[in-house]
Amino acid sequence: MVKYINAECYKAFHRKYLYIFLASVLGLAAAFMLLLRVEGLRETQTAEGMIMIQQVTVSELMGILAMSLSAGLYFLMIGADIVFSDQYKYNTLKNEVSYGLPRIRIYLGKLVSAALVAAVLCILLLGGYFLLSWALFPMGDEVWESLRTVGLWLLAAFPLWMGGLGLFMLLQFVMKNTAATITYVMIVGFLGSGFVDLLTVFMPSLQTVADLVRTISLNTPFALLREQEPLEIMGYAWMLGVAWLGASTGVGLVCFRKKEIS
Amino acid sequence: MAENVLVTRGLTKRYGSHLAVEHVDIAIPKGEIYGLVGRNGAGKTTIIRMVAAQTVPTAGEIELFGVTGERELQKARSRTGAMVEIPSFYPYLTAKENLEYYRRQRGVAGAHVVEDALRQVGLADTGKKKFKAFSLGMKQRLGLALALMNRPDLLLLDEPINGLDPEGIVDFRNLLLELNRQYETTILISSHILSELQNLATCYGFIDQGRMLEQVSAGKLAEKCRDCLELKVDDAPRAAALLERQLGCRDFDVLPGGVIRLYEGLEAPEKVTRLLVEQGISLAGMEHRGANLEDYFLNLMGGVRHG
Repeated sequence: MVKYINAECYKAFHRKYLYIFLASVLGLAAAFMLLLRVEGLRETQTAEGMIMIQQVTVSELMGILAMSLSAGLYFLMIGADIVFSDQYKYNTLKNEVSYGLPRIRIYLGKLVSAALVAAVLCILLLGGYFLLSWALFPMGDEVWESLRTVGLWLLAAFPLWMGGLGLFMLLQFVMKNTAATITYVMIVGFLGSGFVDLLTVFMPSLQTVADLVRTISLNTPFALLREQEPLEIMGYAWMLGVAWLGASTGVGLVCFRKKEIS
Repeated sequence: MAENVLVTRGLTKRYGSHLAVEHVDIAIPKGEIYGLVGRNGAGKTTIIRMVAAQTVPTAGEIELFGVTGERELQKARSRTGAMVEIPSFYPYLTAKENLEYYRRQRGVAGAHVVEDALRQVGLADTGKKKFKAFSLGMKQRLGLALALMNRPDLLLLDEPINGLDPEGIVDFRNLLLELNRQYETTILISSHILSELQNLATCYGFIDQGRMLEQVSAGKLAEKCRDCLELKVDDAPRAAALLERQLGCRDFDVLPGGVIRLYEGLEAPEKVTRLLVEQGISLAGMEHRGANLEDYFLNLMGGVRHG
């Protein structure tokens, strides 16, 4: 398995796609920061009634992260796409199975490699975001408290991302079109609850189904993170994420076991 | 007797209602080059794909290096190299990067094996050229390099010379013969270019509509295809005795049904007819026979040669 992951990482880090994606997102983050630096001034009133012009602070920028945690799944899907590399389009899986590599190793190897590549992407992107924040903005009063909260958010988001990754890999192995795979992941894992909620407006009898779909939707804990303390939903997020990862990986392994490789 | 490297027993593959391969039994001893011959859609590729684990047999058994069973076969497949249909690689990687990826994945020791494999197939100088910019011939060579990289004991090659130029075909043939001679590499090869197969194979399997029609050694096939004068007479034993005594013939076969195949004196058949007629033997027919692999294949399939 280690050799397999080593090879997948070798391939992933030899793709321009990864570097172009990384540069693009970091470039956008930098542009956003510079815009905030120039335009992001706000007025506050002191206790004495004086008007002060203040810069956005690092701790406030950390708060923005909470609003965009579900976007982490996109980065994960990009990482998975870089690793899976259109195997069905290029028919490269046949080189792996004909050498006798067990299909379980192929499946799990790609899953773990995708998680690793995505983790590297996330670390670099978050690192870039933090560095730019520190370089361009004042710290603010509660920066360490903000960082602690961001850490807890990430801890709660991690299993949900992994659940989404499990679903993405299942669909990658079953379907042959990456765009369709991303669409399905978004519908099944994230947008499904909104769609069923909409249906209940016209068909109230579906309320029970809607509640169930909302409970198992990967998006629900992300929505709750904006309203509740991360520690309050930590258990729910982990249970949901692990369940999605386990179920989708189990189904994926069964589907891939006897799949025709052309 | 040499051990069998590959054995299939009752190998069958069904796609819906279509039976692609039906109860195929093959046994390939170590060191043989087995040529799989058949029309398009006969089932050659499906057989190779089943051996290479790219598709699961509907029924039957595969034995590789003496082992059967899914887990054992997976291990045994690490002693094989396969090139099935068009070679497939990552288009955005170079030849070296593609092979390095598979070397790491397969745990083949020593980075030099990549260079060696590329040198062996004449791709050592491709530098930074990506796979997507390769010609079909270069892709075929890279596919072969991958198949050879782990120095396999069994090579599975499906139409490997498609796209190769004449020089490439000769290089390829010499490489296979060298591997077979030097390392006793067993080879299962299918090809439409029967004349090329005839230069390589030591035994053949003729397949049609998923069924194995005949398996024959190259020696036996050469015997069957040898130029001869085929005589149909009313008294074959007496005719044979006359040929031996009067014309000094030694190289002939007497077959059932009054058939004699004479392998010498082909340049003067009139001597034979004159002798037999003079001695009162009734000659019902006389035909000059001889065939190459292509003729033999067409005869076996009951087809006709298309000009």
